[in-house]
Amino acid sequence: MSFATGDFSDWSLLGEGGEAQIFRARQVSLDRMVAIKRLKLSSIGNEDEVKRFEREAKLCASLSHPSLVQVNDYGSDGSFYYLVMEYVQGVDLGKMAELGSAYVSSGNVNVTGNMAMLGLPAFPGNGGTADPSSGQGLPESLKIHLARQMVEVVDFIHQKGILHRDLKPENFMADYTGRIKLLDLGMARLRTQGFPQADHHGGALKGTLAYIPPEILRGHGPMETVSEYYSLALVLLEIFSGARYYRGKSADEVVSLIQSGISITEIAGVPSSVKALLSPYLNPDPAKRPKTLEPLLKGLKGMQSNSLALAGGREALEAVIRREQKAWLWAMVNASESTGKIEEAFARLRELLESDPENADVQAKFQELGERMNVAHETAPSAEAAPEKAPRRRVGRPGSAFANARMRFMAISASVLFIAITGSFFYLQGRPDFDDLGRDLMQREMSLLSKENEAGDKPVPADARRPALLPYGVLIVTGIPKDYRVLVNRVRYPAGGEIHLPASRHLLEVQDAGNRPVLRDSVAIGGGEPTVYDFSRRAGKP
Amino acid sequence: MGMNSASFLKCAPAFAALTLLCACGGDLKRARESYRLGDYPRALRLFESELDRHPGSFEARYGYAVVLQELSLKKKALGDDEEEDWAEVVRSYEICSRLGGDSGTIAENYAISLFHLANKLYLREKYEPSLEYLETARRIDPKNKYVLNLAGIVQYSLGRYQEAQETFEYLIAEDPGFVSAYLNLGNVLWESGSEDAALVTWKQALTVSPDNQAIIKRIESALQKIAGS
Repeated sequence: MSFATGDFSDWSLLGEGGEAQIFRARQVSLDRMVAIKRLKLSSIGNEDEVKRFEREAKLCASLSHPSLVQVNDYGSDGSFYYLVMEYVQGVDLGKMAELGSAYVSSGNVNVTGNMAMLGLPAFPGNGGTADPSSGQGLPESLKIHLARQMVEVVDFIHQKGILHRDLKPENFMADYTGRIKLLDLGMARLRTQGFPQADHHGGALKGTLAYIPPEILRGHGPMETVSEYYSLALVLLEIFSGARYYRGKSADEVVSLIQSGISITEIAGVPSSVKALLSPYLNPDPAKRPKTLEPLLKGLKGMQSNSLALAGGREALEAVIRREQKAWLWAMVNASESTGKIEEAFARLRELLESDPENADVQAKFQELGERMNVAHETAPSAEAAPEKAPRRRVGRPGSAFANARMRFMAISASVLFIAITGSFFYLQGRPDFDDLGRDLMQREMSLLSKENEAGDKPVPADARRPALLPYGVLIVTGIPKDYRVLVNRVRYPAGGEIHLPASRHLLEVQDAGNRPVLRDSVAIGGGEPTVYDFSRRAGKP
Repeated sequence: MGMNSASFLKCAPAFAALTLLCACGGDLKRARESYRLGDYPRALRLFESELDRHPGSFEARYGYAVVLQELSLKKKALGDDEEEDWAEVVRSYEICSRLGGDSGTIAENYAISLFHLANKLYLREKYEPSLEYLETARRIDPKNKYVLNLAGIVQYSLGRYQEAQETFEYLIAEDPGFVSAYLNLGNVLWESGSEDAALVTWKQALTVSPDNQAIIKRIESALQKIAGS
């Protein structure tokens, strides 16, 4: 479980969700780029989130498929939970679905979603929203190629007994080669784990509302593979048509629209052959949907064999990905600049300029940051080195113009005199020493602030200011079956290990694998020898 | 030989000019010496005198601001410092920063003086202006964790729990050894009703600083409260 964050450098935030952040980083030991998903600190106390994170790591590690992201490592460094994954350079299909057919050809890529997520302005070269009516987009052949892989990977996890439970365009990513990757298995479950409770956990539906099948919205039965067929078909329909059917609408509207069903025949821009393939899977009645993905897969494969323009399609996809990457780099430039990391911003800007040398905004920014860096270098303290430069040049060529010993003596004397006078000038002006004094003040201030902050308890509520200080004791709970969990004062601890607690009475709870409490007890912990609590003896007692 | 002597003599006016310049820097020298000896009132007068002659002198401006900061720090040690003291220090650094010079430490000292001013305002429950100064300080010296920590505390005091939580989370991510941030993040989570998350956060603080009494007391108090509810 231990995780060495020291092995990773050049961290850059790729995106952020409610519970986790995704970073791009370099793994130093293997000199490769990786994606690191880090659970937010605020989610760590939420056992469901931690469990979900662990589940995602284990599921990903147990599956091997070219369209599933490879998990390299999982663990915690004591503060955060991490999931180290293969880094995929690509674009999520959500963007294609949002902008549809105009996505590539118009040259207008809307990246405001990403930038808003990072709280940063959009990349100037990509600005504006695409005009959905402006014409050609990703070629149908490429869409079919992507769709086939999407169906294949969903079919693969279903065959392994797993439901993804959050299929949406944003969870599919296409890389430069047109390879699809299915992301975010955090919500996925093995069918044997029971879906109904998970779907309506705490009364709240899990997943993305716009892609939840009607029967689940109505609360009819558990999530099943046919339910997920509906979500997949809806995602595919959005990829082909470039429209978002339920996005941007209120929850009530979405529920009402989903339950009334999609009139697939009225949808423009989707080949009739594709409509015919998807239509059965979008039936609001799950009993009337096909029982496997085979007809869909077979149909897509048949269409693909008739297509010729895959190579051109890949170029179009590459163009989309490059634009996305530029937008991301631009966001990183702004982020580095706003936090005062000018050199870092400059380095990223250089990278950006290499891929987009004609962009006037990038050029202007490059010049602006370059000037700021030059100013910084020119104004850096250099008084100590300056006085020696000129004399060194004068005496630095022995044996040429200064062969005469007397001349050499004169030159050296002049140099010494020059150094003495310029040195005393700077000494009297006081700048180098003065820098030291400013530094001394700064260091003393930081030391004082550090001392003041040792307690750092300014906002502690009044009840915590004068609590009694109790000695600590150790609780060991034995006889716990595997998969059972121990909670003390509602905080989860590893079963079988030492639990350090204040010497006092504490609430102990043991839960079974289904998180149902099987024992609740009050345990007194002493300050001396460890208190051993044998669960096997007490189980069943009230 | 003759030629070389002539060249040498040609340099004489330059040396003379340098010597003259040395003489002009007298007030700065005396100010610096006074500062080194801890005679801050005299140092302040001498820097002022230098500024009367050369209002654009970065060294004199910076020296003036540093001495003002020392005087305010002395007052602070006695509990006598006022909001106006720190406001004056901040003003001096602000003017100094406009001159475009670079002492190598001006950003750090400027940000610290803003921190002190913001802290005074925070203690007087003037949260909004306090946060504004802290935001300025953060722009000037993004690495100052005390500025961020106080910003989180002020956000907390303004009831902006979400912002405060994000500030403390950022601080911990930047410096996992900064115990105050864990304590304060735990407090924010506790106040927001995320009791389990608060306890986990404080326990993480104990892995960083196992004997920290403030953290230990906070955990004990929280557990007692949970046990009693």
